[in-house]
Amino acid sequence: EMDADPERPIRGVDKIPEVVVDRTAQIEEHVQRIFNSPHAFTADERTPFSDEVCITCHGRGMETLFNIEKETPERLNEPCLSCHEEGARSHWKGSTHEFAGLACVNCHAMHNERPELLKADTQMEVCGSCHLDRRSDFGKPSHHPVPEGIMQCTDCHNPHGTPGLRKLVGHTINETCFNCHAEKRGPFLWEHNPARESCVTCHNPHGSIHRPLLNARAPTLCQQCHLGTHSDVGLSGAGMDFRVQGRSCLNCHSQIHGTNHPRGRVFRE
Amino acid sequence: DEDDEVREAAQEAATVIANRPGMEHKVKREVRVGLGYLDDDSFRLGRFTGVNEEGWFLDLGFRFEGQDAHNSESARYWELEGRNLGLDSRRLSLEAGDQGRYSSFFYYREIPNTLYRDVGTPYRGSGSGRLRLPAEGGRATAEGFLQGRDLSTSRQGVGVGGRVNLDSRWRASTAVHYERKEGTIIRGVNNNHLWTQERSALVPVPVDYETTRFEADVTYDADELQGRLGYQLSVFSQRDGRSLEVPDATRLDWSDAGDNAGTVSLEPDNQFHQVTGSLGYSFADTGRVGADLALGHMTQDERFVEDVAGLPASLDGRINTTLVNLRASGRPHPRLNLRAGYRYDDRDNRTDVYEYEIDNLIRSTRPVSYTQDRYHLDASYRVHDRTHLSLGVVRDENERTFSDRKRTDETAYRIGIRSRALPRTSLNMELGHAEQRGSQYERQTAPEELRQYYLADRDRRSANLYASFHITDRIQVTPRVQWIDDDYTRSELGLQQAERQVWAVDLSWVPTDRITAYGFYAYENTEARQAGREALAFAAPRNWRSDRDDESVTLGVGGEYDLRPDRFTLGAEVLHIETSGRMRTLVEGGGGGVYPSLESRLTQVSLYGDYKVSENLDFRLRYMVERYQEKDWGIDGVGVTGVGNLVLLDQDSPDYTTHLIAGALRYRF
Repeated sequence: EMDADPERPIRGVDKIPEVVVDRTAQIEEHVQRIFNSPHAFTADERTPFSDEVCITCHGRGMETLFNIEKETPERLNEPCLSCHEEGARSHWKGSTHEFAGLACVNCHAMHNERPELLKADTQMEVCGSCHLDRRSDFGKPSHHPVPEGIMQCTDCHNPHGTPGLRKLVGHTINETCFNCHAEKRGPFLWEHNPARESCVTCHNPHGSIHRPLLNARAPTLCQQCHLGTHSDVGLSGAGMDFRVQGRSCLNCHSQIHGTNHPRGRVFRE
Repeated sequence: DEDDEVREAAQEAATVIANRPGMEHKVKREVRVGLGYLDDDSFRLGRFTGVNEEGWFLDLGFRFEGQDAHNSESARYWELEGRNLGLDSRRLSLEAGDQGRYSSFFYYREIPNTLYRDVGTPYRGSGSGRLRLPAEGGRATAEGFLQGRDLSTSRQGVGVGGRVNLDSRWRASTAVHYERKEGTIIRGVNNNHLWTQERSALVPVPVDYETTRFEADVTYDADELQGRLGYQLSVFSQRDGRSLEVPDATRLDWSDAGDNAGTVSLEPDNQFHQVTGSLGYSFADTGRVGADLALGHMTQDERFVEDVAGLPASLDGRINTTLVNLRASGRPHPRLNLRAGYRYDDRDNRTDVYEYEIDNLIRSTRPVSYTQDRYHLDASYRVHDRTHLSLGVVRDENERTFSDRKRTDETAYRIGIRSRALPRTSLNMELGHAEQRGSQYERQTAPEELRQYYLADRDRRSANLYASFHITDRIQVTPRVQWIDDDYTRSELGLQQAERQVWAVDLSWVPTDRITAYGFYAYENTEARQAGREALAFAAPRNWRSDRDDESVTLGVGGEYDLRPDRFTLGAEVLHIETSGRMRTLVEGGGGGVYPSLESRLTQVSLYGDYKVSENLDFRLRYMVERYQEKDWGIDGVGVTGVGNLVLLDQDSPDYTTHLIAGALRYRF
């Protein structure tokens, strides 16, 4: 947004140092922004800000107006958690991010007007500012449409913690994937064991140089587990044929997630 | 001091604003009208947005929002937004509610995904349950009967839901999401030939999926105790029927190909029901215990595509899933932070094992069940004012049915340090070691020495470094290094070693109050080695080794210059991403060789200017040039009949230079 927020972020980096030119001049703008936010509604009895205004969050002596980097995460999070330890944030305590010492203000800026009060315009910028590797995954030829703004990190993860592994929104990896790829859920007459157990056995959901989001390219990927009657050959570029070109193993075994065909034992039909 | 003056100024400002007499319901309206031009077809550039064909495109959007004044008697808000309305990625959303009382949402969205444009295939028809081949053609003349097809899918989704606060502690919410996915994808079809006959075709397969999800829950939130009880349902429907008949394009004469059509199964309808519950209790400021329970039931009862003696008419597939999660965290000592948890994840496949005869062979199905138990304990100790040392251990125990290894377990240890002791510096470092072992490996088929990599004995070492340095008030550098080394050398055959390293750094710099600049760089390398053995009928088996080396480099620089503060801003970014994938195989006694390199190279230069014409009108002009080139030996120059007895697609990897220019006016009123 062009001038919605003076803290306008730059792509890929939410760490642009905030250079304060004139603190006194800027403070009124800073205060006004919180009055435009959901925290300021007096009609919502759950918002203590409306009672005590600044000191609700900044402390009786307004201690945390400055130098918040010197405060402990617990001290910084306390005013937030006094209201927000519920719903999608009820798994915060004990979560990986909490245990790693993150504070709410590492990702959120309460005095702005962005959705979810995020510090940057996109989740990829906020999350990617620490998860640099994941951000670069999304630049690879095969990726979920996160950089294009069609998906966002919270479609699959809840950074505040979940009952699932890796802060996934589903209880398991596959449950999370099946939210959008329900056709692969099954059950099937013929099931491919690793696919039933975890999609990430073969896929990197963030991005890969191998389509579609594969950890390696066929036939290499398949030969890590299969050296059967025709998959045992030391295939290479010297002998290009039906087993490596086109879609390699998937030229025939295309129903690799599972199939309902009575002849589908080797996932061709 | 000056800090205190600012503190006072803040509180004074807040008091003034808070006491302003009741303002009216505020409404903000914004309309965005944009026009852009793409100078060349390039399906990849806009594959998820719809901007991928040469010509003009419209970028229309609006955002209307309103909310009560902060000190009015209600806290009503609403927001109606339309985005990308002129494009295939259009979205319309509405949110409305009264904060603290209720909230509601509605959305409609479309998500395109262009896989390839104008791919040549001799197959005709789609969505009719049967593909066709031109009767006058045949494999040898297939090139003359190609028809261009666009491979793409489009998701159209609509959702509606809401939440109501029953009182200050109880809330109820519900939502329904419906999505339809339509289009054409490619699938390999083998027409039931033996592999030795090498006869397969890549065929366009229709996609017409429908998924409906329903969610409802009730939550209780008190100061110390929080709870949630929920239900969710997911119903998937395949609207294209249960099968597709595909004639065999590898036949020399297609006039009777229809008589020899094979039947492939399409994804069957399925359902998933799940009841979920959570309880959490906070105590003594930092302590919390919690439990989660999720009971799921998956079903699938689609009629089989052919009747087979020994098989019922449909699967009657049933799977029960159970998840139990117990967790506790707290601070028994001011310096010590602990967390521990136990997780039970069970997939109990109640689908019958079917044994039946087909093509004179007895087949026995393998409905997969598994149980995973996971225990973890982490401790973090504050050794110094702002320095923490952490230790952690995770134990995973897995049991599976119909698997070469009934049981695997992994114990992972990690030690880390995080510190902000040095001024302007934050440092996080972690080292890990994990060992996966398991029960006796019992392979049902040769070769006996093969170890499937996700079941195999594995030693994993890892290192992770993340740091942040404020070199000055105006410069910040953030490096990150990751390294994971997986050792499978107990596997005589199969994956033996995999090593992944990532080196990345972000740099941000504010040289003057009107200039911001940034850069980012990431290098990733994955190297893996696997071993195989060719079982030869008339000679001794030959061992082989295959090495894989994947690399990617990402480099970006950009910045903004406030030519006239609050009025005119110029920005630029250059992004370059290069990836490569190399593989080679060495066969004992000679043989094997190097695969050509898989490559992709993206260079993107963006320039933009934001100009504020008046108080409520601004204009943005953006120019972008994208150069993209990909090389894939699996498809480039191969042709439709260029490989053995396969019938492939007429396609080449994308290679384009495309310019995009777009201007947009935004008017607020």
